[in-house]
Amino acid sequence: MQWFFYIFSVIIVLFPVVKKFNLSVLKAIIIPGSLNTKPNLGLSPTNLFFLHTPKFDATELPCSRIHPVLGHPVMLFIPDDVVGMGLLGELTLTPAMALCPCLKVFSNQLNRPLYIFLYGPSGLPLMFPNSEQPTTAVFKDASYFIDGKKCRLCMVPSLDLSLDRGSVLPDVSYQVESGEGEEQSQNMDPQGQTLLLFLFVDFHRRFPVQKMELWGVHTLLSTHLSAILRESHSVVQDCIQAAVDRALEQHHQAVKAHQKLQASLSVAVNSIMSIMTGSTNSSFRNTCLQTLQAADTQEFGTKLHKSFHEVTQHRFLYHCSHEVKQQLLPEKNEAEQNTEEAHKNSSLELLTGTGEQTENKRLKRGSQGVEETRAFRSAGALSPSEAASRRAEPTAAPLTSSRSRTGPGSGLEDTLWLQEISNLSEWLSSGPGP
Amino acid sequence: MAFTPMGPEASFFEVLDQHRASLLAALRRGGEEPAGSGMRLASSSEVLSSIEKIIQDIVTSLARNEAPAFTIDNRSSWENIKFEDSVGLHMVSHCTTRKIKSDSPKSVKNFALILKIFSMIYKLVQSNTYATKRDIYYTDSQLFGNQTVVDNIINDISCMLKVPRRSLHILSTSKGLIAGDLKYLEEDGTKVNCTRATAVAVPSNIQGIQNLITDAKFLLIVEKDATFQRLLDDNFCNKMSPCIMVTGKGVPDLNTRLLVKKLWDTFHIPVFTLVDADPHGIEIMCIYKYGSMAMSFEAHNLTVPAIRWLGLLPSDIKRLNIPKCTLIPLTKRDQMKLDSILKRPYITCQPFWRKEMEIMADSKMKAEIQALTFLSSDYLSRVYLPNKLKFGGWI
Repeated sequence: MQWFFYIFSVIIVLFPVVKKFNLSVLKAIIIPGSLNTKPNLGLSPTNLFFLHTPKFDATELPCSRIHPVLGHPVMLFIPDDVVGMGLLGELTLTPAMALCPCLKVFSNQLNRPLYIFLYGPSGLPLMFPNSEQPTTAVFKDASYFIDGKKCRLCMVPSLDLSLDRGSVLPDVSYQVESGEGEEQSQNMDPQGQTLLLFLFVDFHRRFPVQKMELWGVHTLLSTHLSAILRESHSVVQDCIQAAVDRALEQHHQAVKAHQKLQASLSVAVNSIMSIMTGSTNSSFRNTCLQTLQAADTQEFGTKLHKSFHEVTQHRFLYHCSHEVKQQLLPEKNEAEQNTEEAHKNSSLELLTGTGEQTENKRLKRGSQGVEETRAFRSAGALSPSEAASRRAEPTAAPLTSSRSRTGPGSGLEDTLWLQEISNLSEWLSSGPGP
Repeated sequence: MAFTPMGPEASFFEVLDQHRASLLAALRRGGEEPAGSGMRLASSSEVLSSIEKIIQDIVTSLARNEAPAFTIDNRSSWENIKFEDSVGLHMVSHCTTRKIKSDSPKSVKNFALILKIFSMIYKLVQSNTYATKRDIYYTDSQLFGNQTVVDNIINDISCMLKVPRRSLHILSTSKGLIAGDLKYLEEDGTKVNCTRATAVAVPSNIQGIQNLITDAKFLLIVEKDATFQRLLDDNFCNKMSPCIMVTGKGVPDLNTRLLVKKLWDTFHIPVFTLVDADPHGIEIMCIYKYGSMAMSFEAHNLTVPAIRWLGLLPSDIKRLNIPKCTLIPLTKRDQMKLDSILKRPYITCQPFWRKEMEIMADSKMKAEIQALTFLSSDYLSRVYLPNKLKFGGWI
């Protein structure tokens, strides 16, 4: 059972490469059975950005990452009766909001689901399968997430998750709808954005928390978190809404930027076509056709538009990754610079890494990342920024590269996955973890 | 038989003639401006080829999977502008450039608009038709947003192709007026006589006018249309005959500047400015004399460094005892403009101008030309200007 737990934990971190799961959106893994002393490789605010969504064909996905907006952690008030049960310490809640797929690429309406995932101090989901869900009862109040008047959006609790078979249900699900009427929904893009909200509850104490205690806290939270959140209703609402607001603001800006880009490219292409088709200089026309290897003017126009789209999309991707870097690293310090460097490397790989050398680097870094995640995470001992520094080398970032040559089904990812399983087996056979 | 206005006696123009002689002597000393130092008119085929070359470069960039970009001389930077007393403000030969990228969210729209205007110019040149900047703006006002966007892009293109705007088949809407002793033939053969009582609009094709004839002793540039009309009403051109008057109605358009330059180049007669004694008036005068930063790339075709400041001088306010009630306090914006002009490179070679501006700065007051009407309704045309012209009251 222990190794089963571990495999699933690894999946949490590495699931972008596990295409066999065919995840429709970001998927949380529910750990079957009770928690034990095995290493915890669960999600935290700091490794979240390494995940991506393999639903769409990579040829259509210039950016396959998610770019969460990390909110500010807030302290939760622990009621006396819960303290009496042994919850002696401090609890913090950190929201992280992401839109999936990447907004910079798919800029459209928000009439899409909102999935909420709750994670405990161990970095694992707070929910257990087939059990009552008192933890999330508090989130039946949609006002926790969106100020409807401010955002002109309304949220309807949703039961029909429409997830693929094998997907794990989010803890809470809503359907977010635009409050601007029918007109907008008619123009809805079939590949609209899904909103993902991760809520990380962390446990802090003056002294290091033992692993066994951590599991105890985890279990305690799974039954009492709802009461704790109710006690801190106002601060919880404020911090979640702030994260949601920031993500939505990004969405609006991305929509504007996307529309501006498309409109500008259209003007540029039409202008070039106007000169080209209106020219009486056959030499000029032929040179243009030959340069783009087009047989006729019509093909030239098509290729011109495609080329413009490709070269500009490249740049928008860079902006995209740059913004994520800034969101996750609000303050400059040495550790954060490391993360920035690592992320920069990963971004560069995502954008330009097609050569053999790059592939080797990917393999190496991917392996390093797993090594790091093998270390026990002392929950509560790491702040998100500290954790970021320790996880400076992205665990799955090198694996997320949607290589333009081979697509998501490339041999590299298969190799990586097999390599991780192999490493895992070796590690398990060598005895219990540290 | 045409009426020939009787001007003042020949002795009236003695000082003016001396001034003209000194200008001609200075010209001879400095040597005639070498031909081709300014932008030359390019043929239609040259313009078309230049545009085609630019399009080819863009297509080549795309074929290499590189984002195309325009490289444009940085016109709005003082570091790229040199001052020479004989030319005014003009761009240095190797100036810094800026890139208008197609893959930058900030500049992609501008990149597209430049291409849009390129395509329009291409059609205009091909069909040998002309359009004004306003026409271009109205072809898609929603896309361009405002006229300034179009104006800037046209200047950028002119600078990029190193050809004057006329070669792009883009005309400026002329708002200037001309009056006085001047006759010329327009490009289409129309004979124009400016000696009539009403002013004539500055033609839109200055390069095309020919057979210019005048006996004028001087050219007076009047800042404001109201003053210009008042001088016409007062029959100033006849009283001071032979002379020419021009107004650009405020900040001059390209054609008015081209006309003043053409008149200077053709006749080498003294050119004077009559502007308000305020920073805005001085700025306008500087545009005629030394050019503007925005059009510095075409300075050789536009500036007339021989221009002199005739009035209204800040020192005249005290000298003529103009009552303080007719003066206006300098605003903060005026003071900032004055400070900015004082820092410009050309002020160092204009000590008298500096002194006048310091008088204005010290008094913290400005005066419009109309302040002279407090002395008498026709004081400007009857006393002020004749005295200035007779006794050399310019700086």
